[in-house]
Amino acid sequence: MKKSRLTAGLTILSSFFLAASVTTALIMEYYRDPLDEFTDSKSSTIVTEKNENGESDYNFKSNFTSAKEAFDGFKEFALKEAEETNVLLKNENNALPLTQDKPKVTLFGLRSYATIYGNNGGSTPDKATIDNGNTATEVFEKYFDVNPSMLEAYENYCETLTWGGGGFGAASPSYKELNDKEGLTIYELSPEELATYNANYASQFDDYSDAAIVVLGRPGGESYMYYKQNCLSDSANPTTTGNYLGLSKEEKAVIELAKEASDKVIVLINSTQVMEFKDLTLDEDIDAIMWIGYPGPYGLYKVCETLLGDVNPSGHLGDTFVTNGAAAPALQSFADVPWVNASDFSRDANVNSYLIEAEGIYSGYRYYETRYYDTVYNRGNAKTAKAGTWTNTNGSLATTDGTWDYNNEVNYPFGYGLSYTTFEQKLDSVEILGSKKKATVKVSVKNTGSVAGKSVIQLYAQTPYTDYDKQNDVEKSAIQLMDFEKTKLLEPGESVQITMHIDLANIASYDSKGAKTYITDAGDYYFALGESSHDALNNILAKQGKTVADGMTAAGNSDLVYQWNWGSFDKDTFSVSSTGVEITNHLSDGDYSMDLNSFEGYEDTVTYLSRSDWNGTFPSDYAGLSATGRLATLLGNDFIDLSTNDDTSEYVWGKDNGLTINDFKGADWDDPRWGDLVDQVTIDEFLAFASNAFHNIAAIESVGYVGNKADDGPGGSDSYTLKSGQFEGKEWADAEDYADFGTRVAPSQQNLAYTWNKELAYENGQIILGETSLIFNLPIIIGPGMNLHRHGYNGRGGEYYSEDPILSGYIGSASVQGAQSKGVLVNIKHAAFNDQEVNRSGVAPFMNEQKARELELRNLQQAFEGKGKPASFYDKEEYEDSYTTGAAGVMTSYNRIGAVASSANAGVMVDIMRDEWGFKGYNVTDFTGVSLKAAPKESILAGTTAFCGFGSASGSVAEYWKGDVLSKDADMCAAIKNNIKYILFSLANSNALNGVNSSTKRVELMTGWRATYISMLTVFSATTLTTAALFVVSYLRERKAGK
Amino acid sequence: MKKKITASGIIYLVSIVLALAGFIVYLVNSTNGYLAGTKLNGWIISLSVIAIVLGFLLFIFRNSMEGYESIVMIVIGVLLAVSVCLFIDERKSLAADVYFIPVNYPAAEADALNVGIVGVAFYIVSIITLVVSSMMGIEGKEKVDETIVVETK
Repeated sequence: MKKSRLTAGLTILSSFFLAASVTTALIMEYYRDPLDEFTDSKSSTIVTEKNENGESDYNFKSNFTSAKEAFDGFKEFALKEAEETNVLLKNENNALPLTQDKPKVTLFGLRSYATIYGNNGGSTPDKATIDNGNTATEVFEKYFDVNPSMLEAYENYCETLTWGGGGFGAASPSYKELNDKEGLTIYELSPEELATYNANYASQFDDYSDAAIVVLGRPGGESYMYYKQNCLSDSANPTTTGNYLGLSKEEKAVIELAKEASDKVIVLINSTQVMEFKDLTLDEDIDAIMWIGYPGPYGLYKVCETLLGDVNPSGHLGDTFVTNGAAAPALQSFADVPWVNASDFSRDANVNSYLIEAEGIYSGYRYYETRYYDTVYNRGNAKTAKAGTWTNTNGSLATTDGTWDYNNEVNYPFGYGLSYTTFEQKLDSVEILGSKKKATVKVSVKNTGSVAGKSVIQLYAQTPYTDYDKQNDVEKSAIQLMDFEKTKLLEPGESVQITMHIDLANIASYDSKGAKTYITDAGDYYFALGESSHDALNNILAKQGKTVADGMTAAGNSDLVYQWNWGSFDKDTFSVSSTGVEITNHLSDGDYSMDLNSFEGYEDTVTYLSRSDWNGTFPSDYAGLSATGRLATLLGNDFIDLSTNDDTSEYVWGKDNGLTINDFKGADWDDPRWGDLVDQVTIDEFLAFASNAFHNIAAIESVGYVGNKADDGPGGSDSYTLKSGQFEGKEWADAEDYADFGTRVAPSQQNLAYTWNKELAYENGQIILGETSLIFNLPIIIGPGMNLHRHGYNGRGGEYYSEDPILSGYIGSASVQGAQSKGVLVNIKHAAFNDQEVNRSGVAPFMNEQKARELELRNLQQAFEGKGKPASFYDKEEYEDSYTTGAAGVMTSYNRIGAVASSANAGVMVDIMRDEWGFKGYNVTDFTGVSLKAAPKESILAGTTAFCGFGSASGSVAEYWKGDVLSKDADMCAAIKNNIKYILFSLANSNALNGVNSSTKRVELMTGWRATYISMLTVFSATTLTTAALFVVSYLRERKAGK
Repeated sequence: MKKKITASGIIYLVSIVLALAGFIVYLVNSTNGYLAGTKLNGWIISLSVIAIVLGFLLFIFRNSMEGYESIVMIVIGVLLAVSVCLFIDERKSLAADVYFIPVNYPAAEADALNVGIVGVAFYIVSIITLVVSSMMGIEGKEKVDETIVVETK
């Protein structure tokens, strides 16, 4: 071989490697933030000289000065929260607590070993914490003498599986093979299968018979698609109810085995989906049932302590536990229902399916309790039910027409939860303020039992359902939660009185047809205490003179009810928002309508469920629709044309006014200098900021903002471990000692809601969001998750709180307030209507404005307006400044709102969120990038400040994602100016400026991945030069030699 | 004069055909499916076209370009190397969508990425075969081959 040929080949090869190295370097720098997250590296740091005045630049203080303090602090809070999350549902003959010193128990059910600690995907629990002494088995063995033979069978089986996996992002503490995201497989070992993993599994039942503890569960998380075609009433799921959330034959067999093993059978429900287990409730051989949800890495400690009586359970259900989910009106459309002509749209437009929420306001207990109420009064065709809409006594879905019976439909009502003690609650007084906007309710609670415990005060209301309502399609729930409080730990015989401050705006109904605003009808109104929504309704029925003879499920107590008359029909009191804006229709017609019937060509398509005719208006899935006309145009997400010749001379960009964002630390919205600061930013700078927002807050150099990293929540940081922790800019000295541990250690968000404890939720915001933010210097933690549970089948429900807007709204609001006390720029997610995971990116949910406003939006409104202050905060000086401002940030949803991208729906984003609620913060999309699926120009006009993505525009959007294009449209210029102010204002009032002064700058650091590409560049540059030189030399020699 | 195509000549021809295949995949990938409507990268097109045309010209005139073939092959190699790197850079956002947050992408995006990976693979194999053939030389031997005969001008 000629030398020149050899060197030519090597030159080509090395130049290829050199080009590849350059590309690698560019890509690595482009994705530096995700790379830092995934490799646990730090590619830059923010450096600040000491303040010349000697004053601290840290206006938000972390409690943790070392990794040890953080590790212990997070653990301490997780255990504190977990103590109140468990809901005791059944306790026959005081089967619990177990009285033995260290009971000898046998654990049954695959989930007793492969426990579901939390969601998969976002906010999966910290695997390192579980792996270091906190697995389910390790915890159970600390409290119980556990039957080793049975344990061995599960252990042997799980050894065949892969520990860690099944999700994305942080490592999931679950067995990869036990995560079916489509609700088709229920993982359980039958007795026959148990025998194959340990032939002697049953040999020690008699020796470990103090109790048989059965753990049943269903996994959940982001993208868990438990939709109708997969999960409901078909042969794929031969369960007790025919549905995925019913009990499989293997699970039933395990329960029968447990009955053989012990006279005391305890069932733990390890699921945030609403499992269907009415058969266990009715089974006399099942002694106790307790819901444990997703307990997180430490929660099982408190489960065990509750079983042993060291902790008195005080959790209550935040969802209605139904007998058979398939009979719920909301489930009828919970499906993959594609637009018939979806393929006519470009891929970029992301047009796939729709979701018609024809149940209106009747989801969760609003349906079951209201229909029950109407059965007692025998009106509204409430007792008559057609096939497929009611539940048989055995829990299966009825296949013939029949009679609707509350007792068959509901397993445990919303708000239900038992204690080891008893409480007596009294409605001491109710005072309605003259303005009718507020009420003060005093309730006293006494522990009448023999052990200490916490009591939850649940205050419900009933409003009249009038002829006006029927004529104007206004629906009324027979019962609705108004507020709740939780007492301190009350010793036996101890009493406490709590004063509740009731926001009566939440009693108003939205009338989109007649008054086109919030109304209160003429007639009698009721406040009622109750141990659940059902109990409170029975109390109201008792007040109204009804008895068991009328069809009530139990007698009520009228002493717990307050009745008053509102006076005449009122369309004024709640028609103006707290910001002084007139509240009127924004989602009932026009481009941003959520009501499909309002679009031309779709009139009368949807029939909304009405209590005036329950059976006749029961929803269907509305399959088979095509998108046409204006609706089709809107679905294309490109529906506002940009002007090319507006006079935009009034808008100034990139002016040097000599200000920096540091001058605005904590500045008010009305500070007159904002305009000057905003004018320093150019449009292109805004576009660069807006497009670069994946776990990142991009720098804005013109105002001296150096940028920050951000991360996904809501259960803590998804990406960072304590190795990256610091205190006021100094890395913890002991960080390496806790390098593997993260902050996702609390129970699920749904568990938090089930505590019904606002103070605890506030502390959750302070610790789980706030401290995470401070120790990792992540001003944005995406959370809390606040979408409502439309039903029990949304696979991601564990990341959200509840089916009820007040429980969810006040728990979320408390979490926001706690987080913001630590300077977190919260991103409440996902605004709004993330009602299913199927086609969650692109699905178009439709509903009437009453439902939108009274459920999902009322829920979000509480956090955006800083509502729901706990009663105990009113008397404490340290909380004087809490609840004075609402949430400072939001993440919009993947789904559309109506026909358009959620971020582009100006009806919600501008008219309601910003104008009515006064939201002045940061608004980011959910990982859409700058693509057509986010309708970028329309979204900017609707107040979007950032698009979660990696910094570039794609598809047709790239044509206009340029300063010189957008600057020619006056509306766009005005919107960008506003959005820049929203960004700067929210950053200036967050911990993004913690430790920042005029000397602050970003310094690049060496990382492993940088060292790798620099080494590659060096080696291949040298190789290329060498081989090229050798080629030239050999080539010339050969030419000279005449070869 | 008839010259036999050597094994390295065949490898070289395969190399250029693979480059052409990679380039076609790039065009198809960029104009269909998830990426339909996106702007084509002029640099990738220019560099690839130059490399491929040069490649075929060199093959056709390989015997009359003896002495310069190595230089031309280096040029082709560099052009293809830069092309494939630009191609990779163009698809980085798809890879990020699919691999950083695996649940958040439409199936069409994964399809586009997979097709893109096939295109990149064609380019890379093309470069590797080019390296091999450049080391071996591609000019034909002055002996009639029994199986493959190419008429030269």
